[in-house]
Amino acid sequence: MRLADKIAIVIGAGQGPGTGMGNGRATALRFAQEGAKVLAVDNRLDSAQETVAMIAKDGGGAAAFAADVTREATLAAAIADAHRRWGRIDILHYNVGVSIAGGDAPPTELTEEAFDRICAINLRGCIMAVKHVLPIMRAQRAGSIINISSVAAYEDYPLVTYKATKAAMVEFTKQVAIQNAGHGVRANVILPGLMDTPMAVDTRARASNRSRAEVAAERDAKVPLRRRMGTAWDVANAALFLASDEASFITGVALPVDGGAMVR
Amino acid sequence: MTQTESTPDDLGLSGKVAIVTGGGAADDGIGNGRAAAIVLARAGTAVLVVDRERKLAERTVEMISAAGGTAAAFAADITDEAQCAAMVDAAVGQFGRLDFLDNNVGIGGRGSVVEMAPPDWRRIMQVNVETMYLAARHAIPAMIAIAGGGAIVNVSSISALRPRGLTAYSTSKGAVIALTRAMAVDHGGDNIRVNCVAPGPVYTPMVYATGMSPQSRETRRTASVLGREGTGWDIGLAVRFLLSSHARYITGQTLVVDGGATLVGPARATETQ
Repeated sequence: MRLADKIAIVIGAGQGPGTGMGNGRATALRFAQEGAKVLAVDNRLDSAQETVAMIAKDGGGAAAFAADVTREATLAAAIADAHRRWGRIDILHYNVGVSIAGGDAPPTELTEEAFDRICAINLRGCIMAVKHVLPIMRAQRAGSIINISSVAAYEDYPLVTYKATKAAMVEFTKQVAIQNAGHGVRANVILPGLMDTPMAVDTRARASNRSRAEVAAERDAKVPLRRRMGTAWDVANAALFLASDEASFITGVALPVDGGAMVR
Repeated sequence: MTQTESTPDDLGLSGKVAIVTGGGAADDGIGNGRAAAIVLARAGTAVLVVDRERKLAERTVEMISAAGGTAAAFAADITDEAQCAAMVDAAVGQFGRLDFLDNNVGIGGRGSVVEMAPPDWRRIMQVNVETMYLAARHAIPAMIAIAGGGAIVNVSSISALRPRGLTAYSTSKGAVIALTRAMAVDHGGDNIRVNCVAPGPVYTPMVYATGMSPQSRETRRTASVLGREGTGWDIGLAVRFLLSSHARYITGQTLVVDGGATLVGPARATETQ
């Protein structure tokens, strides 16, 4: 049990409609399998509860909490709930992000409303979650923060709000790492590449009116390693490593989980 | 999702075979290679521990055996290609397959290009870069032929990212990062993953062999923003993660394990790596 006795908050632990497993849910399950108690936070309470039920079926401990990451007060409430419930918080995992579904577009077509909303979800929510968890982790003199960015931050990606917010998350996380290492708090960021998740594949299939299989095949072909997208478990397993004490000398790292896409 | 994908604690290391070069260390010290060999063996991987000095490799094997793991010692100077070929044959011969290679051999060296003499420069490039090429040149075909793929970790250094007076060393370790990326592209289609670990200020036998003042240690400690030196275990565990199936979608990457030292670029000791 690599996270025995640890308390984790996974923000974005539910998932949208589609086939299979999303990054947030897989991470919540993996953390629980390794012994952590997990607060599964999502704006869709029923989806968070579904994650909790899966954890409970596995014999793990978890609770669901509804929060809208565009409202700071609800993030603060989620973090306070985990702290009240279990007395500490060892891991904060921020996995909420939106691109196509939030109306993102190239600059010539982008609206102010879409830009503001995507920024609020992807970036401001992350920063506000960190804001409220840091005092607790500093007081404990221990904690591991893991943010989910995207290789879109560095690759050709036409939806510019998503790209810009994911790039900002990388440098934000590094600054958190610098300023909080002295308090025993680590912060790292994962950059998933082409993933076979409901958000990445099903959302695109719906948006482009194509079949899931067609979208998946097109994405598979772009991956250098084995010509196959990654799964939510690949992100979950990277998060597990970074969350665990095995990575206790690792902070401020941006780790792509992308089948070599960024190397080419 | 298949059940196997959600099984915890299965790092995909059990029943696999690894070569760890530079897997020995002085006395009972925990070097990066020895630590990697021990934690791999703990997860069920059989390890061929390779060192130029047989005794040092044998000590690592004793430590693994005492904990119930499987390992064998192999003495080789891997600057020699024939010995690299023999090393791979030994791993396959003794354990039946080859899945992982931890390219961990390296030597330090101080001085600018003006100060360093050509033979010393060539030696550093040979030991730190050419050995990784030679070991991989023989390991990769064996991995593909028997195991249908594999994973490699090349050990670089934060000296490649933040140079400070160890110019040949920094150059060689920078080459290791480029080598890693090139190998990842070349062999990704063959199900071979190649990643790099870049250690920061870790207190290992290679570092303290020549002695280190308390002042140097303090400088190294405060170089990492976490405010401590790392150990061989920190590196060994990072190597194990990158070799494991938990990193099966990660290739071509350099994982910096430095307590945040490269985030801020502070003064670091110049005596050693």
